[in-house]
Amino acid sequence: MIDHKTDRVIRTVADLGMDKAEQVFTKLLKTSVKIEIEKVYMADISDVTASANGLDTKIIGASVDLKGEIPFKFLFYVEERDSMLITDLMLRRPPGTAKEYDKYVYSAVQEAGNILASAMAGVFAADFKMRLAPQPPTVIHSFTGAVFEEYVMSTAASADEMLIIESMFKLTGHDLKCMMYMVPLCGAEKLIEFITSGIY
Amino acid sequence: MNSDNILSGQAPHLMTGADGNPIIVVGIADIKVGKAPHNVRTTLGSCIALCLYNAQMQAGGMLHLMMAEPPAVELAKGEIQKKAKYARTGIPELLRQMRISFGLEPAQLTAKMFGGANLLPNVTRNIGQENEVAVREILRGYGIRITGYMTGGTKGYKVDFDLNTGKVRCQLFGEAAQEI
Repeated sequence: MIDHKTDRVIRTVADLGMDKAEQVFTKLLKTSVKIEIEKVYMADISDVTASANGLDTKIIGASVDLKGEIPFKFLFYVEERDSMLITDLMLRRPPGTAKEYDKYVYSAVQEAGNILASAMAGVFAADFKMRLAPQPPTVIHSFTGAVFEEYVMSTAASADEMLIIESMFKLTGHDLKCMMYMVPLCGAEKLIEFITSGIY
Repeated sequence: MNSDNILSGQAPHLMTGADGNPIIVVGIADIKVGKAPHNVRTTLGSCIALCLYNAQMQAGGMLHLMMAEPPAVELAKGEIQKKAKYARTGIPELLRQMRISFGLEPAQLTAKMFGGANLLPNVTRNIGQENEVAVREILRGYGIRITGYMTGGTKGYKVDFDLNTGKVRCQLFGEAAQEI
């Protein structure tokens, strides 16, 4: 469980990153983008992945490692059926142009993940004097559970619980929802210690 | 199920399939055991799902393991909290649960194994293959026969283990499901 104070601190920091990402995406897509922090929580790795493993959905996700003193693992994903729409929007093409899961779709999801992760890294650098270097994104197209398995693997290898920051990404005028997750690889305690030392 | 919050931790471990049979969902580093009419389901990348089954009792269990061996220091100290994370500790734990829940011994069980894919490009260490090798070796030590498997490759796996029959419906991403 995360206490109320911790929840607020993490949300505040994450909100700064999301605000930046909203601006970048609104400009890129020429449509209003709203990114909201849905939840910040500690979860058992088995419980949290069982949720994904029970689903029949397929997704395309871009995973980005943010390396630095407080490393994060970032995931942006879109459900398979929505990936073509986001590709068309990013490429400024009429919706419906993309017809298959090809290199354009994978590149669009990869670029979206890269932009969002970089926005988060930028906030940490500017507001907390912390350098986080985004690594090249990895794109995985698979069952939802398989994508999450690869996403949480590096954290789960060293911890039985993980702190998850879950956000939803909505595009005005389009029935499209994307999700973003951030998992600090250093654990919740070190993250809070770092953030609070930057604030006070 | 609401797919908006996939990792919310709120989704149940017990679902109902299209055929009305209850489905037990297994997460990573997790073990679940059950009897007919349940199905046991998981999804895999580089992890391995080990399914043990006894046809007479229509009872079985699934281990979803992440890695072959625990860190030596943790193993020596006996500090492994999540035994299901590793083949070395997870298989004995699955056998223990099969014994406690159903009174079944290793000699009364058969095994099937799935997963161990290498989904990430540019990753040189093949964790999936290491997992498979470890599982085979440990099962050999218990004298448990592997009656079916589908492992390796570069695609995700979806696995549905039917405890009514012991058959496993295994689907590789983008391909038709196979019954094993």
